[in-house]
Amino acid sequence: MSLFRIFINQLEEDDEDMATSKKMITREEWEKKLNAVKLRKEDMNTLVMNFLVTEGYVEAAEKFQRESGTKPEIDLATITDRMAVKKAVQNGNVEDAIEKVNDLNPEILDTNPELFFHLQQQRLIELIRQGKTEEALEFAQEELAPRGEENQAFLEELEKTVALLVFDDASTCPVKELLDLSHRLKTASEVNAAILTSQSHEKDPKLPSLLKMLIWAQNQLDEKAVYPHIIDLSTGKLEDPSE
Amino acid sequence: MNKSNFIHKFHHSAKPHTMEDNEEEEESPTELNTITGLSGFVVISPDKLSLKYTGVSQHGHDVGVVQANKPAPCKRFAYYFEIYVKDAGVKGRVSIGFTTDSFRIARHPGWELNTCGYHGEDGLIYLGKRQGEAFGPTYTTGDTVGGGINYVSQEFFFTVNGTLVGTVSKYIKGPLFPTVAVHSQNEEVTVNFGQEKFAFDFKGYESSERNKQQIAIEKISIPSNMSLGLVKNYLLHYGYEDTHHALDLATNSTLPPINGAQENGIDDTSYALHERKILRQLIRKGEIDAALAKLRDSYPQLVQNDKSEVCFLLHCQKFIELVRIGALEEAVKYGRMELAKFIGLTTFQDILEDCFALLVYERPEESNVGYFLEETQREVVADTVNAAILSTKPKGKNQSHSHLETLLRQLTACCLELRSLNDGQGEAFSLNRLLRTNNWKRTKKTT
Repeated sequence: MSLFRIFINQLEEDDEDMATSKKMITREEWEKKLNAVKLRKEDMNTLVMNFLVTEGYVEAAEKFQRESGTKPEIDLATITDRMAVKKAVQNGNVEDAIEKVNDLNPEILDTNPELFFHLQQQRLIELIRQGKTEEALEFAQEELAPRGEENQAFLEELEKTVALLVFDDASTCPVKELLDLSHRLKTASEVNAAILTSQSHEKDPKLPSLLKMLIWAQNQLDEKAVYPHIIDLSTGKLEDPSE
Repeated sequence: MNKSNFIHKFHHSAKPHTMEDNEEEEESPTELNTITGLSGFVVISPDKLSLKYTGVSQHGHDVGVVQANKPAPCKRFAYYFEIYVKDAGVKGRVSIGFTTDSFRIARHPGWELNTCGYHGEDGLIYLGKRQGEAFGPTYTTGDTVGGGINYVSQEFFFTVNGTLVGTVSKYIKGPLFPTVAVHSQNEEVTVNFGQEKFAFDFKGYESSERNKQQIAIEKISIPSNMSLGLVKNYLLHYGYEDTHHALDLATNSTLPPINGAQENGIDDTSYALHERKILRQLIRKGEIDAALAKLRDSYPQLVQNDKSEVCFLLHCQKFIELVRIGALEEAVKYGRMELAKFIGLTTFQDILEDCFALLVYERPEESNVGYFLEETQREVVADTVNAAILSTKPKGKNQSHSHLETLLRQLTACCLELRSLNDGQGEAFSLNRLLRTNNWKRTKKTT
């Protein structure tokens, strides 16, 4: 490439920089903006209460209500019930969990065939885990197969689960992840979400979404400005603007 | 932290909700502009919501065109309005669109530079040129047509009879006026600026557009125990010791231990935790004398100067507590003794006057200074004392905010900056609005 060409390229690049030049915001200016932000303590308390309630920290939610006067958005007693269901699934007591859900509100499972199937599937998994092969087969045929006939996706899930029975050593089974504890947690969080929804409550706490929104907003602003970032969300440390 | 910050903090957190919310409110178009009539070829109805062509339609410069009385508000997600074609007249040359303040001639929106219009006769969109582009269906008598601006995607969108028919890049800057035009005999159109129900589900459109953005945001991943750590730090920062303890018990067994750096951070925030908790409890119970005594005992430096801000706020609160229980005489006495000395000090003047105003009302809780009597006020005073105690921490960085607050400030500032770099268009982040949206049960009083 000739020197002249390089020179031209350089010029073009410079031009491009000019066209997309970003607004520079110094740390001092940015801190001024940060200080001018109006935030209500009440709202932050509500955010924290929402986290405690949604995640099911009932004792903490009670204490927080007392210490800060923040009203929980749902009756705290329902958290205890919800957590009991969740815990039952986590411990593998699926039958118990189903009963508890129905005590809480029979509509939850009636209106949610997928959730009901997943709970039954989890129950099957637990039977297989305990080596109760006969019982597992019987349960699969009587309770799960009819549901599989109604729904192709359920049938596939069921076939996958029954495959666990075929392998003597479950660790060599291609669907061994069904036996993982994480699968219990997945089912538990599904039932947890369904109960919250039935209580007209969002299934996820607001706080994690806000943190994601912060990352998103910083990314968006990156395209237009250079300003101090927060990279480590756990400390909120403000980094100096680079570039 | 600079001490006057306490007052500053106190001040704006003590004010009732509405004041803050109003800042975001902009005026919206309500009727057709009859004052600076663009053309002499229309007659506008007395309610200023419909127009009828009165010209003879011989050329392109005798269009009956009218703007709304105000530009479309832009500090929001989107704006939308509708027209109903009552009569498409002889030729059906109705159009709907947006124009700027400088649009001053009897032409269809879309024909002139910096205007945009969707025309009924040919279904084309005109973007500042005499030639239109294929866009949507034609529309005529009995049709309801809508025009909107999506400030996030920077697009115009149009609807016919409740269905979205197309979007086009919003290439025009500055305030935009909803505009409607008629251009043949008997053509008559009515305008709906939201005073009637829209044919198009604008709210649904807005929330589905919002969801698109939300889905992009939810894809971002963050460490799973991040929220928990921030909540714990928040509880420690504000001295909610019992809550923190309960949360610790509930989570420590299930989560991996936090790394060293974070642990240090938490220890730091634990400074005088128990002291701060006790003081918060006292203030929340309205036991201000006890709180003052405790401060004199444990943090004399904060109350040494009896004109200090902490003293001022606590004395004010004591006064408020006396009003609350109806001990007005005692309140007056207390005011003379403890609050009179603050008169004339500019930093305190406003709060002091508002405080004294409580005495004027027979039912102070219903007055415009009634917020002093709400429970949140005690919380605000407790927070101020909490911050003051934290400021006595001998060494190490003095964190004036909880990490959570720092992040929320950064988020708000980023969103505001984004908007200002986008010609002031789009909505700002509001924690309060976010907390009240979606399918939450509204426990807030709806009175």
